[in-house]
Amino acid sequence: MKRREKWSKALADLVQGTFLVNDSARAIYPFVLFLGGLAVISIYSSHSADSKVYTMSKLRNEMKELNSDYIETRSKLMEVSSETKVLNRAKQLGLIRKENPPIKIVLTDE
Amino acid sequence: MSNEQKQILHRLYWLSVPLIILAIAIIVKLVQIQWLEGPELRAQSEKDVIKNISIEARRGSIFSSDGKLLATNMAAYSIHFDPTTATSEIFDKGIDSLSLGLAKILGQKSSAQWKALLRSSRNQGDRFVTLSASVDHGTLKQLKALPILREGRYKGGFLYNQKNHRKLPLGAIAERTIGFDETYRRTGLEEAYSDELKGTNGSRLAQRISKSYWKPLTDYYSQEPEDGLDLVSTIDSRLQDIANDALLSSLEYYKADHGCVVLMEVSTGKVRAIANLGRNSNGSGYYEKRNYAVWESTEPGSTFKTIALMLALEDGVVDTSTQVNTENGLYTIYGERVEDSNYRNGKGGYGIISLGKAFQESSNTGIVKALYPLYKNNPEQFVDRLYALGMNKPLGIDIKGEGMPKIPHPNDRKAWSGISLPWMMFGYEVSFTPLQILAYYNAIANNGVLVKPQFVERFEKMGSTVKDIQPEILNPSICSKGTLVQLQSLLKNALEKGTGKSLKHDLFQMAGKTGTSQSQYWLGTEGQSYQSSFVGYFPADNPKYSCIVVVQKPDKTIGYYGAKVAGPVFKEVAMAVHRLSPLEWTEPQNTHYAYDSSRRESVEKSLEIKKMPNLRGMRLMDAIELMENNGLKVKLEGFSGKVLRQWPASGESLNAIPTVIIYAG
Repeated sequence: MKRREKWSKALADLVQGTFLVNDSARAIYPFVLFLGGLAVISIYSSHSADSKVYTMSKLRNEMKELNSDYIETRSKLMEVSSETKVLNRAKQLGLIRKENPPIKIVLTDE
Repeated sequence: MSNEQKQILHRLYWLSVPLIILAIAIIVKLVQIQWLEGPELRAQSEKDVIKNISIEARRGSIFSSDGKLLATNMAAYSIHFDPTTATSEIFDKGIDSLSLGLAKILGQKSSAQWKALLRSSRNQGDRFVTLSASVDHGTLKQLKALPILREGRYKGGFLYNQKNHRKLPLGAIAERTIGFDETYRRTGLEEAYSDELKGTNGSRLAQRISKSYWKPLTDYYSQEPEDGLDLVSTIDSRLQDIANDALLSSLEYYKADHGCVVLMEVSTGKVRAIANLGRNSNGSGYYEKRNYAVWESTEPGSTFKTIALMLALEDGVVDTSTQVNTENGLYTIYGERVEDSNYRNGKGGYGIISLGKAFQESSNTGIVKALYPLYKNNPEQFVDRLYALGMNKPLGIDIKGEGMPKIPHPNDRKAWSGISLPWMMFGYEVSFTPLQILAYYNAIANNGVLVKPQFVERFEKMGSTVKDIQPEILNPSICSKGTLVQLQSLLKNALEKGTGKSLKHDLFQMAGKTGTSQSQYWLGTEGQSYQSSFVGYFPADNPKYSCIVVVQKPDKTIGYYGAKVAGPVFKEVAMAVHRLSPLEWTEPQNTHYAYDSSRRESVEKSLEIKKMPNLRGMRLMDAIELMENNGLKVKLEGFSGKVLRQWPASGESLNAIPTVIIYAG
């Protein structure tokens, strides 16, 4: 009989949650709060790391696109600025290529 | 306890039974998952969620020696379209302008063809139409703006994938030499230096956070990725551009099958330009089809006479003044005919001429009649000398696929016949690639030092040199100094007075030899075709570059002589080099030029010893008269008055200078 009473009291305590409010429990509250705080920080940093991964991936993609644009543009520039292309366009303007090299004037103290 | 209360409790007990059973079942399953299947599941999840992801190393780029990009990695996109996705309202409204846009941006098909394709695919329920396998980002942006496609993936059915693309920003120029490093296409520099270019991939422990995103778990790499090195090739983009263009115009004009041109720096063997163009199989236009310069081993024809003559001069059995009777340009050995190029129906030849003149005119009979009798009974001596030069072995260049040279040996009864030796002397029965022939001409220009043709200048990382490639000497001396001097003057004369004289230029002296050889002569007059070549170097007296041009199968009715077909390409490339090397005139500071008639005497004195006099301040008419009376050509810039500047500077030797430039004003 006594044993049965003890069990039912424990069960009642558990259900009523008195173990949360007794004196010894109250003493560890700050620590529990601290643990809770840590958990929040951990979750936050994990999410922020995730979002950084997404941002980095997006930026990397953007970088590739810009690089692609850059190479395309550079490629076009190299093509139109090649001597033979310039020559062809200059011909339409009536210009021709000079046959002889440029002359470098070297000043001397003669 | 009242009866009513008891009844409620009773009901509660009954209700708790299934709940407890459920709870027990859950606990059992939990234990089962956690402990019984646990280890296996945990391992599985770790494999899926946490693993060492590979971090791709960036492949190095290839640059030209003047810093232009020749090959680099960039993002490209394969683009697809699902025509069934769009609602009929969107589809019907946009299809016309979409087809028009596709035709304009992608080409390939006309607007009507695009429209028909997309319509029929939609009707057949084809959900994957590839619009293009590879476009750049700019094109993608344009496509994204088109109707239907701009609705995006879920409403418009526009799909695209980013992929890595190896881009040649200068287009197809030197494409065969730059090469490829793909699964089924591995050639050129990309293949030869694949290890240096590709770098090593790294890896890092990461956790999957969604479909294709991985979050790094450590702040260090399991394996540090190392980007590939950049390769700086020896190719000069300006000279390459001109060489390519000159070759193309010759091929187009002479309707030739294919050809190549190689420009090499004399002292180092660095290849500054290499163009290989072959006709498209459908007959329209030319493109970098194969690396003919490296691969195609053919009978060189007259360009080989230089080598034959070199051996004879080296053996001391002839000299350039040895007389030879070319008669009417026909010489018969064992019933086979050696003809001069001017031989027609029993008439031709050059009569009795010196060996030097025979070389200059590229007389087949002259060379054969002068050299053949000397080696007739001892062909081994001739062939062994070629072998000793190493001409029977490939040069061993970096790019794979070098054609094997062929020189039959008298001991090889199958390959040798009575006419092998005489035919060899004017470039038949033997076979070399254009690059091999060029290497030996380069050695003549390089005072006998045979250097290996080189395609790589250095390797760089982040713009700083990691590894310099040094010139490689294959043979420090191919012949004696005396022979060299004679060969150099023969080659200069061949260009200025002989078969190459149409290429002569007043201000820029070149040396070189024409070659016109018949190929497929076994097909008879109708089937035979020609190989036109020109090989030489410039400037003639202080060679900086050597160059070979080979054009295969020009249209016989338009022309086939080496000087006509290949020569102009050679000259065009030489002129490009000429234009890029500035002349220097000296100009004294703060000097006023006074007219001074007493200078006449000192000018004449200077001209007597072949030194350029100081003409500045003289009356233009006097200066021209003096120079021309002394056999010099004058190129005039400006019209009248006094001489302001001159080239070359006073005191310089006039031996190597055919024309002086005077600027008056």
